[in-house]
Amino acid sequence: MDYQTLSDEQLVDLVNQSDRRALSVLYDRYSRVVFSLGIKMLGSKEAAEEITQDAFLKLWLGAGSYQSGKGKFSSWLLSITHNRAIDEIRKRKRTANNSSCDDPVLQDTLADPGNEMADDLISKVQGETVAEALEKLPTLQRDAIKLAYFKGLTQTEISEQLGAPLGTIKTRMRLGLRKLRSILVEINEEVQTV
Amino acid sequence: MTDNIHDEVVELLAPYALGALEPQEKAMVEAHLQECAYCRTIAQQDSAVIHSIGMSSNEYKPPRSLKRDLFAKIDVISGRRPAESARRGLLPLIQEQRWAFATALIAPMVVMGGMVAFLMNRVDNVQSENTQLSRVVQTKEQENSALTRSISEQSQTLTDQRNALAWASQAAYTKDIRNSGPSKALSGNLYTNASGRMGMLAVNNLPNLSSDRLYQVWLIAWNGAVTGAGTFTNDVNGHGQIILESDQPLFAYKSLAVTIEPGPGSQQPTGPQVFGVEF
Repeated sequence: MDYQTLSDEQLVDLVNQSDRRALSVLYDRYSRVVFSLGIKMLGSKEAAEEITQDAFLKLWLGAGSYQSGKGKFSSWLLSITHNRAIDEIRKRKRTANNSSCDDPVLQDTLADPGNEMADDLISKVQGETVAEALEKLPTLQRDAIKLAYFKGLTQTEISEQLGAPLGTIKTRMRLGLRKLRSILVEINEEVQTV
Repeated sequence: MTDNIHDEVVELLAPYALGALEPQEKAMVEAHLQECAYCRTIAQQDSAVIHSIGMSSNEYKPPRSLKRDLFAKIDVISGRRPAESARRGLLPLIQEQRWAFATALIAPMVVMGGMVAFLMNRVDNVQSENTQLSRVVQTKEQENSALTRSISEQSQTLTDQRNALAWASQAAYTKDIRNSGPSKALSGNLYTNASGRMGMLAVNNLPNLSSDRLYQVWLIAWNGAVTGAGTFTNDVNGHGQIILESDQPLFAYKSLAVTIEPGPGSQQPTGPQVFGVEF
């Protein structure tokens, strides 16, 4: 059986049966995204390694809790990662600088663009699509979403940081997500028509 | 479910999906989601969008060791046997057990080094003993040579003495040479046969000569002419003898003298006279 051809959902079923090889394939597919998210949110290679391991350990131990009908596996895995990172942020009460690439620690972990597997290319394209969509959002909405998602700030903290009323922040988040969804749909439709 | 709560939750679904709620607000939303299908649908849609934001993060590659460590932890959780988990690779095992590996590598080297040093020392000792033995052998050989020479000389002395005795018993003429020279210790005889043309001079207590000197016999005629009659040396006991031959009877000469000459002999006497006898 060629594990590389199996879908995420099929692999998760196998992981639920303690299939190490299935976990290995899922790790190869998503470890880079999970790790990168960890670095962006926590700003440290060591912390990112820790939450990456935690995410896949959680997958190994709790594969049975994933329900394909409730959403994509990648969303489920990133949700685990994101929640874990937020817990870490709030536990340490510090902000992560997710935009600095001058950090010498982070330099070593930058992926080599000339040495990528096919799956990496697909997620790279997806990532570029989402990044493009994010950039199309109005600045205020994009900032609110980034502060919440990548910095782990609560809406109250974002309100204080931006000096905007709490209600305004809630609205920016809601409208931003809605806008982001429609942009992504629009981009996907453009890709499909091409 | 009240409309107020529902409306309030709807406002909170976006920050809920972004993880931006305080704990008590999050609990309220989750409780409402159990009951409200509409809000569950919105929450799932928001979650999918938000986590696609996460997918935009792929700039950083995790280290290879991370996967190894992950599966090592899974081995521990799963209670797998150590032999199976060792398949993860030799290098991590070496890093974990570096002191044991270092000891395992260094200890035999130390032992071998000690053995080599011990053997080298033994070789040195054997070589030293061999050198000493060589010196002993050399000394013994030298002593053996000296002994052989001594035996040879003693043998010659005995032969000479036998010859002298033979002459003494058969000589027609005998001349005692005691007190015929400066040395009072000197003694001996001159023997001749009946014709006098052959004789033997046997002398005792001759002084030792240097290796470049010898005793030379001269026959002095009545007219003063001096004729050399042969040379000889003494043995270790100071004995010397020589067979003399002449065209005319020896006792036809006026006298016989013995001098010390440089080897192999002289045309005429040049050295000191040891003794002289008149016929």
